[in-house]
Amino acid sequence: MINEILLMNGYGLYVWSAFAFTLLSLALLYIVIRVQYT
Amino acid sequence: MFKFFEPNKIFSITSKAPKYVLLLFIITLSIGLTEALILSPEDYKQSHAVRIMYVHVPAAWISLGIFSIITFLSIIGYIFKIKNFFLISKSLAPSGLVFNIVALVTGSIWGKPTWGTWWAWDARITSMLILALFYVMYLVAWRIYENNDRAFKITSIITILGIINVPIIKYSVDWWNTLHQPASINILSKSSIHASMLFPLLIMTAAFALFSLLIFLMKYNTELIKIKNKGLDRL
Repeated sequence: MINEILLMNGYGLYVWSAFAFTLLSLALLYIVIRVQYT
Repeated sequence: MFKFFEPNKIFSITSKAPKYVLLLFIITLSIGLTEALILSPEDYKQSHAVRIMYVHVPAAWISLGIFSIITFLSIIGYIFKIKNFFLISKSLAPSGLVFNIVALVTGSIWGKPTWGTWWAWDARITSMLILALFYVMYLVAWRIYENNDRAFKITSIITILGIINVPIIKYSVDWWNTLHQPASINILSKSSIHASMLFPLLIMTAAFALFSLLIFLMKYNTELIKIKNKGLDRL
């Protein structure tokens, strides 16, 4: 189960990279705007 | 002259909202990620690569939506001289740009296993890249001209030129033979996407919309604080 979620039939690297990039971009934008706000 | 509005009155409302929006965003994102990465089925053709769609498509929708709102507010703001509309537009732009970049990068990551290439100068992808350039020009114009009448004029021109690109992005897959697939979701006709995939897609779209609202509120409040610090009780 865990292996299937992580590896995703060989697509895991692409899927996890896409989600990681998205979440990191959102976190970075939030931090930048938060710093300006406070 | 641009019409006046009172920052203090607006700030008292908008300064309380971010913490509630943040909480709602975290809840929605958690449900969306669980659905997108674990519960939704794999596609019979694309296999698990289809999961990239759950961040790529909502990001593209939000970036297009935000640019359309910015253009509408800039035009109305310029015609009726409502300065507040420009502040709203300026505060919406950062999340629009970030979602545009997310759409481009995740599309590129999806392209490698599906098309065998990271990038193609395809009509849809190129027009999305052009939209990102318009976002950059818009934000740079605000940096250069600050909050004055010239900034309102220049940013309005940028949005009017940029909005021409929006229908090109939307219909590029119909007008040209593109590598990019046609739209799977139609508001007016039946969508070709299964409900088990549509649900996480809509949840992720809601999460991204909430995030845009959060960033907008924080940025807008920052702009109002700047106005207050300048000693102006009216803008």
